[in-house]
This record gives sequence, structure tokens and C-alpha cells, in this order.
Amino acid sequence: MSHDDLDYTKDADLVRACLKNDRKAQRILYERYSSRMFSVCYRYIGDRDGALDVLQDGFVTVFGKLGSYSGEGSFEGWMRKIFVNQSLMQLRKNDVLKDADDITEMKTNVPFEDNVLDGLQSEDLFRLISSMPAGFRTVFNLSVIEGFSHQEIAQRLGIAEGASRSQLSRARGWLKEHLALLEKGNDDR
Amino acid sequence: MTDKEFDEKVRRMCSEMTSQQIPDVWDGIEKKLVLKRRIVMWRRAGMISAAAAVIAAGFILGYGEDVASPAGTVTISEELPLVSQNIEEIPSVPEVSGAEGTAIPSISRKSNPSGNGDADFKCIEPSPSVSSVSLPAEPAEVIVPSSASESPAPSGQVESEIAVVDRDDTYTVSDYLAFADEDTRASGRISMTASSDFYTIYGSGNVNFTSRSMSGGTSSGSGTPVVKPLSGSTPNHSLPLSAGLGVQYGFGKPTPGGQPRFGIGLGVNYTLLRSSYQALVSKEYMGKYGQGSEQASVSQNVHYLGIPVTFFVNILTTDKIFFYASVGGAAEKGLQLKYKFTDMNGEEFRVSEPVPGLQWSADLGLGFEYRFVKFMGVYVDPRLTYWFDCSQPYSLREEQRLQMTLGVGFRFHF
Repeated sequence: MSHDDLDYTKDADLVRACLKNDRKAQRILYERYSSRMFSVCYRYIGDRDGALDVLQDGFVTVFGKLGSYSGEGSFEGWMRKIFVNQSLMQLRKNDVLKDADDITEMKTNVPFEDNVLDGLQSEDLFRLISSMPAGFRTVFNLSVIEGFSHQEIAQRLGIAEGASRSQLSRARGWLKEHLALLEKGNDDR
Repeated sequence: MTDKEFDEKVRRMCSEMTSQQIPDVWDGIEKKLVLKRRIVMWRRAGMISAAAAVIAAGFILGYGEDVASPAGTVTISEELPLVSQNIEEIPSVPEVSGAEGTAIPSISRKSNPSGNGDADFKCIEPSPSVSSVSLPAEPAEVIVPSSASESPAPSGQVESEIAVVDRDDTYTVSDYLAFADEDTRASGRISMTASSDFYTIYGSGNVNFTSRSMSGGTSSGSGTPVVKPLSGSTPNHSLPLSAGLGVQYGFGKPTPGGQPRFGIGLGVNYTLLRSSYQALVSKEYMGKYGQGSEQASVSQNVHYLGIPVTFFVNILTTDKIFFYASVGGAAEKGLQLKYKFTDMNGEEFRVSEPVPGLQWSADLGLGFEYRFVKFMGVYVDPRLTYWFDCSQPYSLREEQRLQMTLGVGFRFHF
């Protein structure tokens, strides 16, 4: 059952109600953003169950930290930062990022046809990104999707800036290679 | 296609992406929200009870013995005029020889190891277990208003789901601890401590009768002491009692364990020093009729309230274990010097007077903290403390200026 049609059409009203621990408003906020935030978590974590755990913890953190939302800027953007942080914490907790440098033999200059992305469904791209090795996936997400600089990524992940650059370059190569394979598979069919 | 163009295209496609079908995890979220609310209350209750326990222990142990004065005793609360008679000149004051059978309330007799037959008294020691700081109450005992009663009753399916969660009160202590451990808000820079210091030295001492601080509060205008310990008397010092509360602020670049490298702490600390010895005491000072001095058993309490300042450096930190070094100092103000004199007839006389000046001290130590949950840990601080000569009343500190003390307590992290 959706509650969006009942009230709280504006995020600001919803936030105010959530701050008063109004459970109904909290549920509406969850329903409004859960699928978008799940996509964020899934893109970082790479598996469904893990992403659901992060989604759950992320919403608990959001409700706990609502008081620190200043009201300036997009509320969704603010929430998204929390879910990204939550995902990174989970990856760190599971020691996933320590193996980030393990894959060294990776092509960075992969021949790539420009129109490959045009014929691709968003879901397929999303699935490919989620199946990247953890180190590539994390740096790729932070850099390409969130727009963090290499300096910021290095600080967040506790790695050198150079490592961030090389991970991104290899991640791009990995993605292009797999996109080409996907395209080839589609053509063969 | 350049890398920039490729990235931009990927970014645009990903930002359009939402997962349409995901399982509902709202139940789990709501359960955690309820749990979190209880933990906040539990944490507050724990801190308040720890602080209350430390303060109560200080007052009960410090003032407990003064609550009921035995019949026939004289209690003098105001400062008396000091006698000018030189007690050194009083002839033939009898040595105490085995005051067997003399009833002295609150003082227990023990044999004098020197074997000279002199009575040797020792104050009943306060229990050293000041670690009576209470742990937070069992979660099951925390009464939390149900969320259903706080917010308007929802309707339909949501209502029934919430109602189920509210009735579901089956959390175990492990649930609370595990969840509290995940609480990311609880690893901040501010800590609160409830502590108690244990001294490693007590028992018999050797009075330095020439020390000027022996005259603290006990001398006449001419510099003659009105409470003069008998030569050959062996004073006894009870285990000092010390308890306090403090606040710490962490700063500096985080350690590999994610904790601030440095910290500074400020607090308030109560200390009780107890000593007992045999002395020649001015009758006038005791509040008895007549002039001159007579022998009495002296039981002495000095109450101090101090402000310790400590600088910490985290040496090694993990999620649960912290090793640190500390250096600091304290200024302590003597609140009151209390005497209880027991004369040869077993009659008690009490005198109390203010303590002038401040007692300064410096300390250096190493500490260890174990955090059983992120917001709370237990710590042990072995410290080497030096008490400066500040003309304070005679006490254990006078005898042993450099002492090893052991601070133990709880730290709450915000």
C-alpha cells in the first residue's frame, strides 16, 4: 500500500514529520526512496542480499541523522551520500577492498565501438557494473557515478591517488571489454 | 569515444536506473528503530547510574562514620582558639601501655608488632571496592513507552505490522550489544568517565615529626603543635578512597584504528585520606577543661576535592582495545580536616577545621581500555603520581610523595 497519495507530497514536510518520530511518515519516506537507494547499494555491494542489509542499515542511519539535514540541496542527494557511505563501510567491514589491487593484468586500451552503449539496456549495464571485481567497482562508482575526485577517493578508501587512477582505468577497460563481449553475444544470437 | 564521453554516458544510464522489485525490509528497519530508541535510553540510564553510584559511594564511605556520634562525646565543629602552652614542657605524660578493654568506637585494636606494649590502632578501612559503578540496567528492565502510544495509530496493514513489532519484546542483551556496536554515532570524540583510584600503598608509616606540614591545622600561634604525635608511635594510613567524574575530548589525526590520536581530559575528583596515631593533644583544643596536654588516640580524616587535567596519546588502538600514555596534574582543595580524639577514659572528642592552600600533584602513566561496545568501555590506568609539598595536613602523601596509583572506571563515548 502506498501512502504517497495521502499526504507529505513535499520532502520537507516528510522530513519534519520523521523528525517527530512519526512512524507513518518514516514508512512513506522508505517507500518513496527504497528502490532508488537499493540501486545505489547494489551497485556498490554487488550482491542482492548484501545490498538489502545495507539498505536496511542505511535507512536506520538516515532516520537517526535526519536532524543534521540542513534543508539546503536535494534531500535525495543527501540520502544518497549516506547510502554510499554505508555501502563503503560494509565493504570495508568485509575486507573486500583489501583485494582491490589483486587484478593487475587488465587491459586498459580496449578496442570499443562507440555505438555499443546506444543499443544497451540500462539493466544490462547495471548488471555488468555490479559484477565487476570489488576494487574496480568501488572506484568506478565513486569516480564515474558519484563524481568524486581521485584525491577524495584515495582519502575515503585509504589508498594512494595513483592507485585510484589505475583502478579506474582498469575498471573502464574491464567494462568496455565485457560490453564488447555482450554485444558480440547479442550479434551471434 | 573519449573516456570522458564514455563515463558521462554510463553515468546518465545508471542514474536512470531504479530497482522496481525489492523485498520489503521495512519490518527490519522498524525493529532497529525501536531498538535504537531503547539503547539511547539505556545509555543515558547507565551514565546517570554510574555517576550516581560513584558520588554515592564517596559520600557514604566518606561521611558514613560521622552520621552517628556515640553518647557522651563532644563534637566541636568550629575552630577553637589555639593553646599557647608548650607541650614539650609537660612532664611525665604516661606512655600508653596496653589499653586493653578500652572501648573505642570505630577503631579496631591490633597488636603492636614492635612488641613494646604500646597500643596500636588502625582505622577500619573503607571497602576498596569502589568499582560499585553500576553497569547499565538489563535491557529487559528498561521501560520504554511503546511507539504506538507516541504516534497516531496508523491504519490498515501498516498498523498491524507496527503493532506486531511493538509487542515483540524478545531482544536479548546480545541483540542490544550487537546493535549498539553497529551504531556509528557512538564513536565520536567526546567521552565521559566515572572512575575510582586505588592506591598501592597504605598501612603503617614513619612520621617525619620535623616536617613542617605536620603542623598543618594543629599548631599554636607560636608554632607549637597542639596535636603532637608520640615519638615511637607508628601511624596507620588506611587505603585512600578516591572517586571522580570527567570529560575527555579527542583531537588530532586519527590512528589506524580510527580513533583520535590525542585527548585532553578534565574532571572532578573526591579523595578521602584517613590516618590514625597516638599523640599528645592540647586539652583546650580537644574541648576539655583544664590546661596542658594529654595522650589520646587520634583518628584523622582529610577530605579533598580536586580538578585533574590529563593529556592522552593513543599508542595502539583496535576496534576494542586501546593502549595510551597519559601525563597530567591536579589541584586539590582540602575541604575539611576532621579529628576524632579518644582519651584514656575512652571518651571521644571531635574537632574539624578548614584546610588552607592547595595540594598540587603531577602524574605520568600508561592506560588500557577495553570497549565491550562502541559507546562504553572499562579502563585501567596505572599511574606514577607525585604529590608536591604544599604544607597540607599530615597524611600518607606526606610519607610517600611518589606513589603508584591505579585508576579504574568506565568510559562512555559519544
